[in-house]
Amino acid sequence: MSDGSLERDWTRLLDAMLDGTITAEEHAQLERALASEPDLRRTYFRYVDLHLGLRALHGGQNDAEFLRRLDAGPRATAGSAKWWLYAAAAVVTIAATGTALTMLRGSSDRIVSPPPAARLAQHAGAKFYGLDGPQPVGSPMNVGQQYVLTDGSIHLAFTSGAEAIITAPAVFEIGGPMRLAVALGKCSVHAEGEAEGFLVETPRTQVIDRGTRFSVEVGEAGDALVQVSEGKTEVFPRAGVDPSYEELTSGMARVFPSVPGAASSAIPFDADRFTSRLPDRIVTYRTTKGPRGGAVALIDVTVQRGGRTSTYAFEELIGARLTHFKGAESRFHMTTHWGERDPYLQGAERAELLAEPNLNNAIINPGGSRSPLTSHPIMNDPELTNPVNTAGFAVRFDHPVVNGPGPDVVLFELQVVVHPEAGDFFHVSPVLFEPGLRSHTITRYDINMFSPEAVALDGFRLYLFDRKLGSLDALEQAEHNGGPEHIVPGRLLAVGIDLSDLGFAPGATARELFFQDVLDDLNYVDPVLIVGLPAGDAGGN
Amino acid sequence: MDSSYDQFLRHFVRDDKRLFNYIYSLLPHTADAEDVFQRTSLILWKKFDQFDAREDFLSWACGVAFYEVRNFLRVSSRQRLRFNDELLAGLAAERIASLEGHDERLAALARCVAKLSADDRGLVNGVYGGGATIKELADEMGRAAQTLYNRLAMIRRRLLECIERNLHAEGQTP
Repeated sequence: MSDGSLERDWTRLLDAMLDGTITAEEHAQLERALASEPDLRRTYFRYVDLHLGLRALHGGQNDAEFLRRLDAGPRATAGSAKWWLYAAAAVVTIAATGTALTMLRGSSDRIVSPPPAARLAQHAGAKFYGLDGPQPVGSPMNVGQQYVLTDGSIHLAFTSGAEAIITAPAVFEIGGPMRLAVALGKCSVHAEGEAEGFLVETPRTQVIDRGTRFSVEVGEAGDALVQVSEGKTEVFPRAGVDPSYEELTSGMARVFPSVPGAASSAIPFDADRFTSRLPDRIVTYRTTKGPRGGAVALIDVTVQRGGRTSTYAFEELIGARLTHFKGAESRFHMTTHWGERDPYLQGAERAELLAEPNLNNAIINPGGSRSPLTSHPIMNDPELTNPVNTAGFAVRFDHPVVNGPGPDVVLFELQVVVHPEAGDFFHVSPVLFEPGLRSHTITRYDINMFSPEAVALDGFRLYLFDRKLGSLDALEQAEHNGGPEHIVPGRLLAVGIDLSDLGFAPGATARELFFQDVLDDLNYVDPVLIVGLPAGDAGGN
Repeated sequence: MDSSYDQFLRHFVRDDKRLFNYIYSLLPHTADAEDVFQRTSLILWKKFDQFDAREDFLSWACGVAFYEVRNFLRVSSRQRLRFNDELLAGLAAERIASLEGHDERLAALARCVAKLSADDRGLVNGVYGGGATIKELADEMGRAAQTLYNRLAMIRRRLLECIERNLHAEGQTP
């Protein structure tokens, strides 16, 4: 290439060829250039490798993919060469992992899959790049498949008894019941007893557990930080035949550079490097099913609080009632289950929809603010012209909610499937800004659209009001379009709110909270249910 | 199961991805490349008794694949833009050597993808994992298709630069 602009022109044509948009004239130009420019040929090969590599990361053909397809059952006839080649390849892969199996050729071919080396024991907002759909808790992790964890964290349980918590961003591969390869990211491993000898491979090192807890962080350049919280590990160089290793014992931390032959260096021990459990969060929930098979009423919710998981039945939860509402620019402010109508028609209050167990009933699209409140909101009912009400909504709990460890309040949101997968972010504030209290902004849902725990709702009507709503009085009085059924399906998201994040002291109570959309886009938070969690030992395990 | 079968599978499973990359480099259209890959795979198995174990399997397989690519281009009635015979021979001669380090590059790519912004990952996910065309994605997002093509091109360049940095840092020869 003579200069950068020429290089850009040729790479533009390479992109066009991979995208299938190249014209005949451009193809002829590229053909001539490839024939005469060795550098361009090298660049072309790199582009092809990149293009096919991205396909491979999305479940393109590899040995693990063969196994997964075979688990689904043979799909080809006996005459299909491709099927038996894949099946045969699976035999080699399975044999390489040291597990016996049976294979028969011909139309009655069967493959007995080996037991998985590890399973996804739990996750917290985990999202994997390139996988088809979310990974449910309990899913087997494929041996030999490269996983790219882009969000959240996961807890892996190996069949050897070892456990590992991996935090995004991370790239890793399950090597077997006793082996984990980490190309990037942070993992904390607990391996003892029969799992002693568990191996964590990084680009440059092999870390062998000699009991019991250690963490490994692999940087972008392949350097590895190894820290032992309990017990000891042996760290070997990955390449070469040198049998020497470095032994790290409890309280030690060292960095092993990515440069071959470079010496490791000691660094200060930091207890926070070891992640012993996933963060407190809303783990899952259960609902009744409606006539269309979607979620209707909340049965219970499971929450991890202070590291302990408890399940709370709906009846145990502290209900909350709408005490203020000022809507967003959108005048869609109410939903009811498709089999129900506007409660106003039955002499009931629309505001009660937010307290009902039917998760298809909601008061939605509250107003908001780009910056959270720093002083008490104005909530006149009806709204005055001066001062005007604060955009957003407030709820008052039936009983005071005690600030305990982890989440204390749960907000369930209705999210239609074409809206942001992560959910709609919001500010939550005390209604009374007593000293020490502050607003908190929620920018992550515990159960979002790509969580396997998010269930589809049974369906709802969406009501468009004839005016902007500035108060509860307006909500109760305004006319609407009758609430035609909403075509786009919705899912139920959930997020826990820790009163500690609002400045409440441990054991302090909150009776009323204010919520505002963050106005980061044209979608607004759509709460269907807000509940407080009971204090103390309530809830079952 | 006889031992030659075991041997074939061991070679094939180790080199199948690189073999496909070789074929795709000569025939940069997925369906066509998969077609030739399937035929090549069958021929490799049928002719495995002619393979000299002292030889490099990938080189041998690519040699078979090259002629299958030529056959495909000669008999295929599909209307596609394709490389001329002279360029095909030139690419074929250089491609095998460039496949060294394939696995390391793939690992580096995975690390680099994890570092993309959420928006960029979303686009790449849509193009490579969602099965949608750029036009369909553009319609869904309310953007012009060319905007997405331009963005994808930029993402590819960033990923390539990131891969090179990764490999350089690991002491790999790019």
